Amino acid sequence: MAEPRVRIRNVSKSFGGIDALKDVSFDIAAGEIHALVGENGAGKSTLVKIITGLQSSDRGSILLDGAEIRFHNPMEARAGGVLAVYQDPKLFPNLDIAENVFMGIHPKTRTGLIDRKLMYRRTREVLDWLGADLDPKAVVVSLSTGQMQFVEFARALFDANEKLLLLDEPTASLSPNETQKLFEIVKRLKKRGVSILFISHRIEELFGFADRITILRDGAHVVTKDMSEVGQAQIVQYMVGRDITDLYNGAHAEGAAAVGAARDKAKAVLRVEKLSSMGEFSDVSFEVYPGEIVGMAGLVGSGRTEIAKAIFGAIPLEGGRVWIAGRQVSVRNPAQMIGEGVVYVPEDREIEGLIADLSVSDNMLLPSVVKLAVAGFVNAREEAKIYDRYTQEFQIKSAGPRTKISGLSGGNRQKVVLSKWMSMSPKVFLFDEPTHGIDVGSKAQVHKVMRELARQGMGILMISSDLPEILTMSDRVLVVSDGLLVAEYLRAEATQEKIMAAAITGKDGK
Amino acid sequence: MAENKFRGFLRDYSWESLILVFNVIAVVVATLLSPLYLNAFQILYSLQQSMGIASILAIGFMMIILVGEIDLSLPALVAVGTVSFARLSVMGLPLGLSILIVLAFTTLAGLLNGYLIVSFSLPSMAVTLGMMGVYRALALWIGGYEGFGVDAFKPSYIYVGDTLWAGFLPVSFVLLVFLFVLAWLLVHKTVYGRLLYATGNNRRATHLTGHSIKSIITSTYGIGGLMAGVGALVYIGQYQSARADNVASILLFVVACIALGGFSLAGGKGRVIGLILSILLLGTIQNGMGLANIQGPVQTLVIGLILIASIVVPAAIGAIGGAASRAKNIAERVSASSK
Amino acid sequence: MGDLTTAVQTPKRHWSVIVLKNRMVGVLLFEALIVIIFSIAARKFLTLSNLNTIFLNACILAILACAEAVVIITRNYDVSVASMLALAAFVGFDLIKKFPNVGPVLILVPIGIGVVCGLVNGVIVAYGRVSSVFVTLAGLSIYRGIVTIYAQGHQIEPRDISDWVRNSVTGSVVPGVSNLAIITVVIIALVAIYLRYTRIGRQIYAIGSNPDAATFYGLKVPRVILGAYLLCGAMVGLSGFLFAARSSYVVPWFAQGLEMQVIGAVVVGGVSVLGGSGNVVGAALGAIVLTTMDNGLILIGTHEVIRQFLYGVAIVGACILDASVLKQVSRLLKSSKRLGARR
Repeated sequence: MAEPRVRIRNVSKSFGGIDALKDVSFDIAAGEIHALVGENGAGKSTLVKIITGLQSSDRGSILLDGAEIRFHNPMEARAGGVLAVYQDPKLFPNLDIAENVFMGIHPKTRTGLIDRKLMYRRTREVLDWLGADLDPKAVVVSLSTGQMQFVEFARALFDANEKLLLLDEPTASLSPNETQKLFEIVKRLKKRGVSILFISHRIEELFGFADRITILRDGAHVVTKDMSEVGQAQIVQYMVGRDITDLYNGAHAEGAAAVGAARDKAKAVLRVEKLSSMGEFSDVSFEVYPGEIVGMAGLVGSGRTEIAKAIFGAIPLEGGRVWIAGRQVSVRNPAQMIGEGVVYVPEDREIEGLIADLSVSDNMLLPSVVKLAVAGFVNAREEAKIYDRYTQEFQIKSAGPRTKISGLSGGNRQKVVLSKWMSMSPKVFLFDEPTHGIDVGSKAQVHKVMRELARQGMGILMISSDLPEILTMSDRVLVVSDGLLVAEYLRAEATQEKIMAAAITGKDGK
Repeated sequence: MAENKFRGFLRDYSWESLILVFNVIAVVVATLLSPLYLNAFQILYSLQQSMGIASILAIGFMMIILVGEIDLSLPALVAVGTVSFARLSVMGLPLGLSILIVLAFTTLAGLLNGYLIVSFSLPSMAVTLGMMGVYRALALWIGGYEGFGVDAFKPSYIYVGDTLWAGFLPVSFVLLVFLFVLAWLLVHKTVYGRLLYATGNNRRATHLTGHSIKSIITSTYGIGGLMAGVGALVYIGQYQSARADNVASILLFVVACIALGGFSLAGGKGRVIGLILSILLLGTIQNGMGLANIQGPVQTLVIGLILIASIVVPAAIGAIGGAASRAKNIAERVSASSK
Repeated sequence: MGDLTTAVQTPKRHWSVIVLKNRMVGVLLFEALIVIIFSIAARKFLTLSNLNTIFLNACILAILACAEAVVIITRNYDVSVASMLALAAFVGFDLIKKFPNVGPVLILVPIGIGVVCGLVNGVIVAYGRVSSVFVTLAGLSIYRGIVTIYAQGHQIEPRDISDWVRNSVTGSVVPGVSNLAIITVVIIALVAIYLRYTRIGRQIYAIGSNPDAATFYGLKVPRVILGAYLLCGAMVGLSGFLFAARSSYVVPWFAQGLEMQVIGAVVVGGVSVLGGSGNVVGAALGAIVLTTMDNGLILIGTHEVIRQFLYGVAIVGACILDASVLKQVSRLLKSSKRLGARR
């Protein structure tokens, strides 16, 4: 049998002690559409970055046509015939489509000047080949996201020397028609003999399109199979099928009492109805009761963070109503919502949750510094008390209140983020990926804190992409898919497979 | 134990300590250059003359820099202040009332700057450049081409900038000390100061913690405007003139004081004590240059070089440090993989 | 086919998109407007000699605006242009005075000085990665200081200057057309061609438009920024020569405060300080607009106050316009995203 076009051999990569990829190996033949599937954090994007040279692997190698490749940047990769198209278009908004396609590699005339006619003609050609009815002279800023995605494709495909094309969630921002067009393009590339690695969450679209599929889970290779050999349920099983009993100990306490019993919505500590925000989510309604932990699962980009931020007032809420502890509130900004008793622990901890160059104490006291102040002056004594109390209660390891918070470990930083809200007497805690990127010991501690908060009567909404965490911690599980709330499961009936299936297909399987 | 604390202190205050050392060196050099230098009154007086108004402006500028913005129109606001004072003096208003009017005026102008920048998300450099033109024009309109000379001012008006208590202590110096104490309290001891640092370091996180970034930023511009008005009051006493082109070249000094004082021009870093030390240092250097009869523009050149050095040296050290730690990482990896 | 455009409504007619595409037309219209207003308000305005005066006065500002525009397009500033100009002019003319027989090759001196200043500015901004505002602010005083030291209190007088100098500017190689005008048009055309038809020229726009994407695609960002400052310096040096050739005297405080007019011209001409948009022809038009306003206001007898005021308002107004357009367009972008696409 001929040597496969692409061989990925034992690729491993870790970031600061956390393994993103563990010894991943598989092949892609020339003219093969190879699907790559896995949960968020399974390592797909890391693999793509390693192949194109944005990251380097710790171990392992990648062979293209028998020769090892090691690129240092996307331009080098391009020269080597390896191209990637990502989800968020990195384009130059003030320039037109043709300029974006050819930036850095404009065609020249004999005099050395840019041959603009040729540039527009070749752009026109590639756009036609893509089936996109776009004017090469259109300024990019006036395009829709889907159209921008096509410009990205044009940029990747115009010189027809591709050997390997990597597509990272290419259909995420495309309409059904645009998606069809994309599939046609990919099929044409396949005829040309290009190897295609197609990352997607939309498993149902892969049938009748992809040739083979590789599933990654927690950074490791699970299985590679022909598409004809697997069904959707099986794929989901491979994606999430892990033994969860030994991961998180301890059952959740009696917060579940509110569940199952007939629920009076007025008693909910957080209630939302028909929330919508253009382009992010729509028609979202749910309740969180005191003492409950409600897990919110879904794929990355499905809108969960936006829902939480909108409830918190950090991004505009266009439609819908919000009640806090039975009282309707008109959401304006975070300061106001904090006053109402809603607090938000951000997903992007380093940028949104903490101020890196400030001290541990300053970070911890930032929300409450105004409250505690005496005639505008900082109340050092009260602040010290709070610092002591929470460092002890949450066992935060720091060299002192004045140390820079960037010197703390990830788990300790998260605990500081949690404790900063404690002194504001919150009623509702919105957690966004609370244990993302922190060590196991700290994870357990954060979970313990969350359970304690619930026990004290707070309502907790926990956004998480970690399915075991969702299953262990939640009394109820909400699933968000593509901006819509598509399923709700009680703890007893929830399984990883059901949740993942709902997140992917948008149907709750009931 | 005490040694660790001292080491920690030195590390935290490394920049300020460096400037302090330079201060000592500068005094020594100045003394060597000219025997006239080492006289308490001379030092005090010349410092006040050369850096007095720049210091007041620097306090206002500092607040704006701390949140990561800039205001190029402050010197123009000083000119608006001086000509306004002159007019009000000519009109016969009592000093107290004039002070209220002018300070309110300049503060509002500062707030206008802040409002424009915050509400429209405008780049502060370009906008305040434009407002500088607007305010200069305003000063020209209020003051006319010739401006006002010494005759315009009632004695009470020039009191602050002109009087020496006990024959040697400038009133304006006392005012300056008072302002610095207030500034220090505000920046380092109040909630407001804490929020300034938070905003300057990370606007997003500060906003998500429930504070209004817009109010914080706008208020710093208000303080800038207020300081411009105070500076105007001192100016008319010191120079007894009020023209639309007053303090045309003071911006460089102010920015140099700030940069040399250890403030990051992107915001979030710097201490009041650093500013005080840098003002002393620049003042001493200027004093020394003056006594050594160095030309005006040459002095400006030196200040410009100091500004560049204050910006470039920390960046260079940062870059070298970054490269060094990257090299260290690579070395560690190499040795780890060869095991 | 055609699905891409019907699937999503891109409001091509929204005012913000129109403004984005047609800024220069707006400037031309504005110029036409003020010409009309002043023609009515002042009899002397619409005479051939007056229009000629306006145009010639605008020439040097146009070249300066062109220079500044190149830097602003990369999302940086250069506020030291006036001082660079003075330094280049003074040293250049001093050498012309000292070597009266060497001739036109000495024009290379002020250009060279401009390039060196641009090099200093550019290296610090591009490789030091420090804010261009403060660096060039320091440059402003440093270059001014250097020229003062160099001058040692002297000034350059008309009688010191060989005739070829003045003739190069006021003479007419082509009968009826001032040399200055030709030089200006040629330079601006060359720079415009450079920015539009060379790879580096396009990268200047790319970097200002999206610095992150530029780095991501492997563009050599610091090199391009340095190039922009060098180009700016060269043009400033040349305009120093032209400016001095046109004036009677050259003194160390030459052209003080000119920065504001330059940036005003650039901004009015449609070059956004947010970077990535506008062109040098627009900047030159902006220079013509400002000069026209100046001229007209003087003819009407308006106080200089108004002129300063208008520069300031023009800059602030242009900034607000640019920022509003940007906000609107990103809002439009959001509204075109589709939810639940597969339902």
